[in-house]
Amino acid sequence: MSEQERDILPVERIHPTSPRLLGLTVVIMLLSGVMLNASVKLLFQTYPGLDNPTYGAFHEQWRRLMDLDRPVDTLILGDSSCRHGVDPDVLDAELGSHSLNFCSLGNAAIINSAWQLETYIERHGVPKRVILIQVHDVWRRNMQLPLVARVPLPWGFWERLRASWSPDRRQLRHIFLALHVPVYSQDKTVTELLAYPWRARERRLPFTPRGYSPIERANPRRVARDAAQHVRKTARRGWRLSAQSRGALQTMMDMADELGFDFYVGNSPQAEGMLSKPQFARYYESGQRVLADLADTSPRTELILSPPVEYSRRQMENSDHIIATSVPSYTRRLAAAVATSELHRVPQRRREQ
Amino acid sequence: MLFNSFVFVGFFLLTYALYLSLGRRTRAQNLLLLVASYVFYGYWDWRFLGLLAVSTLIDFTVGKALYRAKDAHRRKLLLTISVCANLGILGFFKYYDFFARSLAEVLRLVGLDPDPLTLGILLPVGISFYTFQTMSYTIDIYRGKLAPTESLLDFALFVSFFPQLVAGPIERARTLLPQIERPRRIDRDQLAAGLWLILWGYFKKVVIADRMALIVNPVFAEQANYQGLELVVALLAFTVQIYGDFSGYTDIARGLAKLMGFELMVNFRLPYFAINPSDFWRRWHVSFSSWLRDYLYIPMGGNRGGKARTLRNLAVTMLLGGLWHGAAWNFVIWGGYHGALLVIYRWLDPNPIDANPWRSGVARLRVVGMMALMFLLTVFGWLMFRAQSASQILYFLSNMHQGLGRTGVELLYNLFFFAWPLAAVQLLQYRTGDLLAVCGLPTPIRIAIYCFLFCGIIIFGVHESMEFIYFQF
Repeated sequence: MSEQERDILPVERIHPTSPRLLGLTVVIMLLSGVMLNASVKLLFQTYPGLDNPTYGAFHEQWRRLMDLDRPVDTLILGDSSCRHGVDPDVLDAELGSHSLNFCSLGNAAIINSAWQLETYIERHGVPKRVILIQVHDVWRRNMQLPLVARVPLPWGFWERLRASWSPDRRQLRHIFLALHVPVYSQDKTVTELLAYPWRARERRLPFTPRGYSPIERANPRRVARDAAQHVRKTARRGWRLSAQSRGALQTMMDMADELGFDFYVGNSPQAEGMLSKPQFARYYESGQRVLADLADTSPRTELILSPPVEYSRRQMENSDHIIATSVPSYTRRLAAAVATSELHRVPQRRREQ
Repeated sequence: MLFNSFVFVGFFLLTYALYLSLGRRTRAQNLLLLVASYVFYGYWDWRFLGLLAVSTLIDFTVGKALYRAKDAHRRKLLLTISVCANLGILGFFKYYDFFARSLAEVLRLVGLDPDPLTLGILLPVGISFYTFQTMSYTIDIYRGKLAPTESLLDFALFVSFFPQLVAGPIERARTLLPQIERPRRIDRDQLAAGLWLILWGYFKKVVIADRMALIVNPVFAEQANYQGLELVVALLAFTVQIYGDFSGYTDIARGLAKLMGFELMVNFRLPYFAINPSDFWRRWHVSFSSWLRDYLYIPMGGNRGGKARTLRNLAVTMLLGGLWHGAAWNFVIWGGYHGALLVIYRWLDPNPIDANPWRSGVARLRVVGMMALMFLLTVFGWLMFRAQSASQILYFLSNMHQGLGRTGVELLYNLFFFAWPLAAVQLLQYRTGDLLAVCGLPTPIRIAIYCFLFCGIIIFGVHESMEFIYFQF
């Protein structure tokens, strides 16, 4: 660079430092990162609704399970369709039972329900009956890793429980980061909070004390869009049962057979009209055949609500979430399915078989 | 492997630990760095390691022969071999398909319908950078400015040194080779400067540039859904993105090199503070613009030979400079645009300010006006650079004034929210004339800034590894 250019253009001037100062700077910088992470972790623990509200719902249902201080006779497990769709008060009125709804999310997949069941049995003994309600496309999923991190069981529980799963190194790293480094794993939420603080509010989904989460407002447009998307997706891929889900379902069926509880596998509510589409009907039917065949291998397992109960768009929030005014009818249909099932009607014969 | 990936962090920490453990054993360190550089490059695509090795061998051999040759004709022949080999490799891998398609388009215009013989050639990462770097070696030997190195190891490391291999700075053998050949000493001041550059470089890349990409990409992907302020913000965001991306990469490269006792050339000197096109090209991608000046513009005659010839030389240099950026006409047009700016400014103002404008007696308001004008002209140039077609450029120009758009205010907020640290640091650097100004701040303030940037990277850094823009060149 010429003298002239040195006058015009900025240059690098080395600034003296000492090894101690350099080291101190690096240490303080790293500590600031650690403190930031700890603060974010504390923030999300104190206000779980600041996070993704569905993660909050997942946390809520596991918290309810872990805080349960006495047994119940009916466990309702599954995804958000039954969290929003099954009211234990209505179910108990129909069946004369005492039930709790621990349904969470579709992205928690079947294995989460298996883990909830095992955890319940370990703490409170064998229930009388277990009802598992799933949307048709949840069977193909594996549990999302950030949700695995949110299961309030000690590290490595996924291999210790009977419905076991062996994550690879990448998945373990992901779970570790989700559990211990929320600044990394929940960076989008943190960014939103810092960049748009006026939008920050704790979003908690409403829950009754027994785990039912009512939806008040229908969203017909969203139902139509959602239903159309489901129908489109089935054109690209068939019904599938993931290996993880198959293993989890098999574990639950085996436990039912060994421990003697009735296990009902049921279909979620569904927007009307979807089954009138031939390709969707074929897709759905193929799934039902697989589930029915699997249920037939277990004397204590039965497939119910097949075909599914359908609702109009004005009764739903999306293509598998019904609103509160429709919940009693769905829950009664569920109760009726249980009451008229072979397991319920002839339990003695089933046991002998 | 991308700098902003866990794989690279692990790779560098291991390499650095081994490097330090070798003490002042220069040869062993060079061998380690060479192996590490080949591993680094091979991680992208091992198939192109051969190309790197061939380019290295050709210029090493030619360099030695060139130095020994006394006959002018033979010297010219050897130089021609080196230049043709390098440009041939670059031309084939980078431009063959482009020219084949372009030729086919031209023939279609005259009624023919050829089937363009394109080969679907993969572009080796960094080829534009290392071929230019090795050419400068042989050209400098030819000019008598440099003696060749006798060590193939040292030369191979000069070509492949991993911090600067894939996106520069394009180093000169005169500055980098001596550093390779002699024992390195890492002093604490250099270490501190290196750490600052790495931290600032990562912040510019993963926070500023990658956040700007989240604004830019959707708008340029489907511009018809956007208008008015949305288009303006997207263009400004790209202006920030390309600078943050490229200068961020360079800072990381220079910082890593400093940790190992190497000094790579400064590649950016606050280009958006330029007052005219010449000033801009003294500040933007300095290693490339100086390469063009020394190996293209000056050999063509430079500014000797009258005004018309000077302007011609400027235009040709910038056109080829644009073409270097990529095998697409928009890069050529962008280069031509900057060439035209240089020509027009040279023609209108044959005696530009050649001293610090703030001390040159020119009114302050006028200096600010010149900066603002140059900035606007630069932003317009970036539209040509980023646009995917002429119709997209026209759409931007004809719709920029159409109100706020649905999300214009939100996009503008995002732009300011993520780009303000860049503006703040750059203003400090400009005021002090010191690119390491932050390192000279009082200790508590400096540490607070470092913590802010570090936490910013953790929170706001875009984790989905986004490739550096200049890798595609």
